[in-house]
Amino acid sequence: MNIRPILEWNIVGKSKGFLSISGIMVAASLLIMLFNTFFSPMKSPLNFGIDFTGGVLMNLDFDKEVQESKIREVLSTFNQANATIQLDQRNKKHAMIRLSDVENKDQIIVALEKELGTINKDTQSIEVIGPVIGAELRKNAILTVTLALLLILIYIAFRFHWKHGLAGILALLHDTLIALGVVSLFRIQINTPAVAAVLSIVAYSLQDTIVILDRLRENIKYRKGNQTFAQIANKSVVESWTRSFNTSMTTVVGIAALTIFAGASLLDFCIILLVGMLVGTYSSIYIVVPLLVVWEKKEEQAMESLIVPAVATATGNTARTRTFTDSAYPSQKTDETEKTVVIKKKKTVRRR
Amino acid sequence: MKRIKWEQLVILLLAIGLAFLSIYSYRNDVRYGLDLQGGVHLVLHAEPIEKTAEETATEEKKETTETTETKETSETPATEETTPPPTTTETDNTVTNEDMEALEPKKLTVEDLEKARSVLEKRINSLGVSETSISIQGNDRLIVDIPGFSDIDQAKKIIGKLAVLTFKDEAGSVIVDGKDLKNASFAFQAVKDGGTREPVVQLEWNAAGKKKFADGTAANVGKTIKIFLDEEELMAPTVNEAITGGNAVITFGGAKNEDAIRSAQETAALLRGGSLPLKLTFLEERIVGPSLGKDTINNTKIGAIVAILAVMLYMIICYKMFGVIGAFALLLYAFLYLGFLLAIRSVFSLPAIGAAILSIGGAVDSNVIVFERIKEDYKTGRTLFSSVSSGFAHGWTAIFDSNFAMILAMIVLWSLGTPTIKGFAITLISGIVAALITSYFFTRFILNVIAITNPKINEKLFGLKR
Repeated sequence: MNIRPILEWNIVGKSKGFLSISGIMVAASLLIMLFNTFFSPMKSPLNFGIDFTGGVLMNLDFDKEVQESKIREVLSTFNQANATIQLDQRNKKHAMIRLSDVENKDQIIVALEKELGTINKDTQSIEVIGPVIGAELRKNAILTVTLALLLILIYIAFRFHWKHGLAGILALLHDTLIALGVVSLFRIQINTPAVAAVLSIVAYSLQDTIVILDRLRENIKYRKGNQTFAQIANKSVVESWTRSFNTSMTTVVGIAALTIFAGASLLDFCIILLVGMLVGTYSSIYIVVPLLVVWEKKEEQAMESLIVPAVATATGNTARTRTFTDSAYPSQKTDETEKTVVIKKKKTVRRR
Repeated sequence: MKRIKWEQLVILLLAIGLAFLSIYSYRNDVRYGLDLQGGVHLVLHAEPIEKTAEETATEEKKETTETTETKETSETPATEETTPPPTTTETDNTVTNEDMEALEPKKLTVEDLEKARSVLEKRINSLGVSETSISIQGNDRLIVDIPGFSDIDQAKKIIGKLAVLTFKDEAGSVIVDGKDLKNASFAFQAVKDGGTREPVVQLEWNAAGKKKFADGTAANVGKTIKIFLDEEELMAPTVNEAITGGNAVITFGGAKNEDAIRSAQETAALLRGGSLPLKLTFLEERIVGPSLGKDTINNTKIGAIVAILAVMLYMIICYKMFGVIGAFALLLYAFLYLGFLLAIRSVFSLPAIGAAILSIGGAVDSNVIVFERIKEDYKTGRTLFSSVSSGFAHGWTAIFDSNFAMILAMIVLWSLGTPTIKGFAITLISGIVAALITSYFFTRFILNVIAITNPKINEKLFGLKR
């Protein structure tokens, strides 16, 4: 991995370009969801599974090949005409049936067995979710994510600065919206595992964002007098770039291996994770810091007002005489000076 | 200070030892979620069946005449060591009630749910399944998980039906049934020829039951009366005398005997459950065929191993010798993580696997951050030892902040989420903790040792540059 060229990149200089790209992606995601709400058979921005809507989902293996028309025939006698039926193209004995009405599930299974053949009990799956549970999950999912985001905002505000927190939250929203856009585009069903995948994205993006914010905090603390905020911001981004890239790549490699081997049952889950991770890595580099730079320019204030108070409270250690980023002047250090620096640093870490 | 920090190694070895112990003891008892293992998952809503005004009035009257007793009584020393067979005797007035009965007839209490749970447990175990878990959620829900069972209709039938409690004589003809049992409670009763107390179950009959029970006991003095819950014989106490007053007690032997106390409490709950005043409705049913998940489990195991190997390879290619350290750290992390998950009896389900992948990312990240910092600091002309120290110190603030924020978010999920989401949060938190331990005690220790023992480092081998 050749680091030199990366360190010379000017990412912050192209802030507006990156922010526009993100804006377009978010807008596209919203458009896809709008389209699906009004023009698709789903009639909803996302393909909510029965975990959210309530209803019955059956995965049945018959002992002979089945036809969709026959299943529909059986269902229509139970007044279930708008049920969704999916046949497995490779295994025509397998059928997935989704009903919105919970009522006569048992009779339907009996009728299906009578008309189409015996159902293998060992490989079947039947899920019945009452409407109460569905409504509760919807409410809980929204409440939980909102609370988690609020808590993160407070934490970043406390450890960094509220503007950093806000930029971080915007990046998280950006990642979630784009991931949901992809979910909406492919009409992936949203059930509890999909919620977990979306939460994973939020968590991953958060971790990535904080690592870069930490770099920014440090570079501001040890800045040279004539550096502008934009310069420091760019320095922080390019310094973190290799780390962000390598961490993302390793996680992608992990997810890919799992997707290939674990197969269909994890596929939807892995797609959401994969999209979210890539977007999450992108956003912490190309969104969070550029957002802060754009803000900074508007305020026309020195970066002191933005950063210094937060850093002072965060580290409680402003009386430092030497800087670590003094790379232009490599000094001859003795073990004695080394010792003091290390011990000081340790204390700082502990206090946090 | 340039010294090898052995204390870090000690802590690390301790963690490894604990993980080994946990993996060793739970190796054959891994818990899989129903999505992987197959089985029946039910969510039940419980609501009280409204009682008639007359019943409520008599119940309230009864409560005012009874005194509640503290739990200290169960520690009363006893003289009796042997456990005589259960006997039924006429109740006397020294009996005190330990149970806090439901005060509001229309409100569901924790005890109602506990009662329902013990009844359901008994019923489901009669299906011949093991490891059934029944948990109470919120204040009106029961969650039933029966792993490896696929006949949901049978499960629902057995759960939904009302328990039939019958008292039969030795010939098998029914004397009286649970409809007429007004209450059954656990209590302590003074033993007549001593100052000690013994655990008993108090039975209280309504008017009809009082008559039937009186006739039945009169006809069976010296014989046993068998008590059946559905088809299962709960116990067969011997009738000491004809019981005509409508109140009876079943004794269980020595007061000190913990088993006697427990079985008395259990019996009381079951007898009460026979007239369980709860209406159960099914909110959620999931059934997964047992062979559906088997392939998934095996494939996921292979996938996880391949994922870890691939990540190790990536680390070694990117970071040379540092990568080798990182790869070992990853193996160690996987070991500690597995031990941790098994120790907290975590359930392996699809969302939990997602959390585990995510935390592999976190574990790698904590090493990548440190390695990158060391390389950077080394470039500025520092010695290796100095770079390692400052690289770790600097890297650690980022690692700590990012992981702590994640833990905070997961705690929110854990406290509000459904069981699946809770599992996700717990798995992720465990992963973060395992990753932090590995990074703080393994990576730091090894790097420190290398920096001290190799003052002239082979730069190429470590991918370092000045």
